[in-house]
Amino acid sequence: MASRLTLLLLLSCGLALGCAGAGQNESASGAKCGQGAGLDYASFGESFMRDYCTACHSSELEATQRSGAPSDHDFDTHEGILRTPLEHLDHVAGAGAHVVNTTMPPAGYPQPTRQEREDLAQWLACGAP
Amino acid sequence: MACVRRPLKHAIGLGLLSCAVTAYASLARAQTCHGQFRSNVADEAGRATVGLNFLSAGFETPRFTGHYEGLGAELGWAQGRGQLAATWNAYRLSKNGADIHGVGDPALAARVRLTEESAALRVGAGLAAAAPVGDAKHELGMGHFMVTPEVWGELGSQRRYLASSLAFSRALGAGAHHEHGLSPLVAPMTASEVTLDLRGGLRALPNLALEARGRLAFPAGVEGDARAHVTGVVAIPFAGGESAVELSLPLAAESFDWRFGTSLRWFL
Repeated sequence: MASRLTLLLLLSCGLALGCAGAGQNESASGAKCGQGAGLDYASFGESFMRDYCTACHSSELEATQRSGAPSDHDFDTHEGILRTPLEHLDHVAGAGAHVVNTTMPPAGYPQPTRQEREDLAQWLACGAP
Repeated sequence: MACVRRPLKHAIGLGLLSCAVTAYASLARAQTCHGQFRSNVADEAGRATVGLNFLSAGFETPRFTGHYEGLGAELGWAQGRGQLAATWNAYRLSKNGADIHGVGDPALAARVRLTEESAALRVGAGLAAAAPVGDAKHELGMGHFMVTPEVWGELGSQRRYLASSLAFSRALGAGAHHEHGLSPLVAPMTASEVTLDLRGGLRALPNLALEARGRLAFPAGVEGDARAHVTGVVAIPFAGGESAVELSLPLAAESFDWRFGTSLRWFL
């Protein structure tokens, strides 16, 4: 009996292993800080976030108005951006030599241009000054 | 001879069905890998069961506020000293104003009783596994395999029983990325967790059974908070099956504020 149970368990797990879905396709863009020198919150970050992010990622929104955005990801202030791991922002929206990440903004929302994504990644690589 | 072959046919059939259930979901990935068995004494040997369950919960974590509803199927089989159970749920998860639909992680569990059924104290061991089918990005699934070996013991009869299990859950292939934080659906929330379940039940009336459960889970070798909740269950047996409702409330660090479940189970 025990051997049958074990066999069935192994069969099911093996099949599940073969059918498991693929992983996420988010990674570091490869942007370097030197390329983005000069970009700062006032000249770039604030307007980028206002145009593409704060419709959902704003501390002024109630939970039910955030379209799924986590409550600890608010980008309507410089401080709020800096509280979020910058690598995460690059992985979902930055573009660089390695990849163009387009997880954010979601489909149906205004999309940044390739150049704007590259600027975002370079600004983030410099620590989002 | 036929009596010998029939359980084997049941086993193969259930195994294939479990495999089919597990294999079907290539789109999505859930929640817990442990706790598929209600009570050993409630599962009569030599029977297969099929069940449907519905659950609903409300939650408020530092990251998300919302609720979820789940509808699931369960298959069970008991023969001699062994038990098998397979469960798989589909969810509607509403968090911070977004609705997400999809299936969770299917789970398969096996238990073996090591002592005679007539013994005053019955003990055994088990192994459960959940496969990463649910969408981990949207927190419908863990995003990795989870295995949970356990030891269990119970005293009493169907009329009155006390049972306990001690389990160790371990993520496979998740590395340092397992930490789910307070995820509405996914448990365990750490890569390694020890779980202690206690349950006691009695049949108050011929068609009314009550069960009280408690669960304490704490991280093993990794950082994290211990969590605990209690559950009250009312079960009503009927000809050929059983219906049950349950309500869980958190005691510490659980991601849900409340969780309600109801189920129907038929003996085949």
